[in-house]
Amino acid sequence: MGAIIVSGLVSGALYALVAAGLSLIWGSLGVFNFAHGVLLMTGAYAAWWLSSPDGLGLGLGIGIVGALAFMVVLGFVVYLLLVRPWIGKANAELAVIMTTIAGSIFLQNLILEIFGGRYKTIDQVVTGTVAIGGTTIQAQNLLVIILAPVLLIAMWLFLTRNRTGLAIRAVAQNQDAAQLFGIGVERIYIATFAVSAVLAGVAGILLGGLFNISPDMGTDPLLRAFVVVVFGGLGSLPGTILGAYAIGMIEAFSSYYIGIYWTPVVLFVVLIGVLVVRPTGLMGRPT
Amino acid sequence: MRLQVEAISAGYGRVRVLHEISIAVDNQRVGLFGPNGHGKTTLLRTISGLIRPTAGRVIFDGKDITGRSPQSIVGEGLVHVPQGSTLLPRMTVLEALTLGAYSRRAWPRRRATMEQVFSLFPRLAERRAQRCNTLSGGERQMAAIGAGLMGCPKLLMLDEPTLGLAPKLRAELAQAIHAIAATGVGLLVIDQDIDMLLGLCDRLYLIEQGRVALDVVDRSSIQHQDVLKRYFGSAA
Repeated sequence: MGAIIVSGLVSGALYALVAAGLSLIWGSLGVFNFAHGVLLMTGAYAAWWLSSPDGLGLGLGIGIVGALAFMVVLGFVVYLLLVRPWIGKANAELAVIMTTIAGSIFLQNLILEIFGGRYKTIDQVVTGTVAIGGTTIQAQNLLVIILAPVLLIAMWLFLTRNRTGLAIRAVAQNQDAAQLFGIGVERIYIATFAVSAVLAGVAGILLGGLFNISPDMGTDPLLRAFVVVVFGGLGSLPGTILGAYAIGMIEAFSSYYIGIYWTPVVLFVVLIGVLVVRPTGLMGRPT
Repeated sequence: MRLQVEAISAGYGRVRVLHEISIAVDNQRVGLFGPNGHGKTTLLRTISGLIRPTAGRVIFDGKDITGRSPQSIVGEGLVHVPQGSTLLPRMTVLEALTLGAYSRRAWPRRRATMEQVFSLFPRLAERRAQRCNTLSGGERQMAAIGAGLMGCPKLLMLDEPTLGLAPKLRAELAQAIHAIAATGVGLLVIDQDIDMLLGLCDRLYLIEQGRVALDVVDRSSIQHQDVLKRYFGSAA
């Protein structure tokens, strides 16, 4: 039982980090970033390349900091090349689905070309195990369980206290009003992508410490994040976080009691059930 | 403070709304009135940079601000409070006011300015933790004007601040607007409430079909009845 809850919390935490970034971009730009999973994967590769003896061998600390700095740049590039040209045009949301899918295929294959198909591993940020309440937890799992809420709270503080954070929400809610406050919408879009990419990078690095790093490691988390965002309510950050932990828990319990192959079925049945009762998701608002 | 709008033409897509319109605000309070759909709001949106004019110039304090971004225009101290003001529905009053001071010029002074806004609108101080979409119509208007003031304007442009409000609230808001004018902030106000505009403004423009149809410079020369006659075709 303890192990199931731990597994649910770990998945929930990772999904929350991935989905929060996705939800942030949906909220302020009204587009879905299908390259989000590839951003996660690239973050993991960047950390591996900087830190591993097979790469530059600079150690894990520099690897993490460098990878996150790289994510800021990558978020900017993704926005500039794949999103910006279509903003404000007809059917922007459809165009951006296609451009970000195209971009993610390109990046995925670029990584495959550069680093090859063999799985990589990054060192765990913390090693060993911890015993809590009769359950033994890998320290890295415990780190994920604790770090994700800390980051999400930090993000919430950023969005409610910080000048740029407030501006991100303002642009999401009323673009005209935001502009009349003197907010440069373009700068805020770039900031949104940067924050979102950093969250993806953190998730990638944490995931890379738990499992292997491979060019397609972002696909599954992205799919789950979409389920989470729809489940929790589009554009609602609290809903997204609640949804992430709910999905993580359902997945953990279903994998144990029903079986791993039936788990996606269970997930989608729950998702459909929620959408039948609440078409806007758990905490979504009508559009 | 001096705003000169010189022969501005502007519109949406191929629809031209403003036809070489010229107005001036010179350290004073200026009112715009006239039928709906004749370009008053478009004029404010053009001045504040939301719409790019196809011809003409906007000059503020001697600087040509034609075609500049809303961001840089706010930075000059020219602040536009839009109509209806759904403002920022899912933000608290406090957050919305804080954002009103987003411009680099206003940000360092935001705490002091907020005290002033709260003393002008005590109701906002009571509602500071409340989300904007839970406010009443009058309170929303107050929040919108308050957020505008947070930008430390030299000239504040208000688009129908009393729209849809009960007479008592309207009087309360008119009083607040008078108080704002008394602090030396220039005002450019659109409103349907001619009495309020007559009581507030030094100069009135009647805007019809994207042009200035009547320019009332000397307030004493105009009587309420004249305006109504001009406005509605017959004295009410």
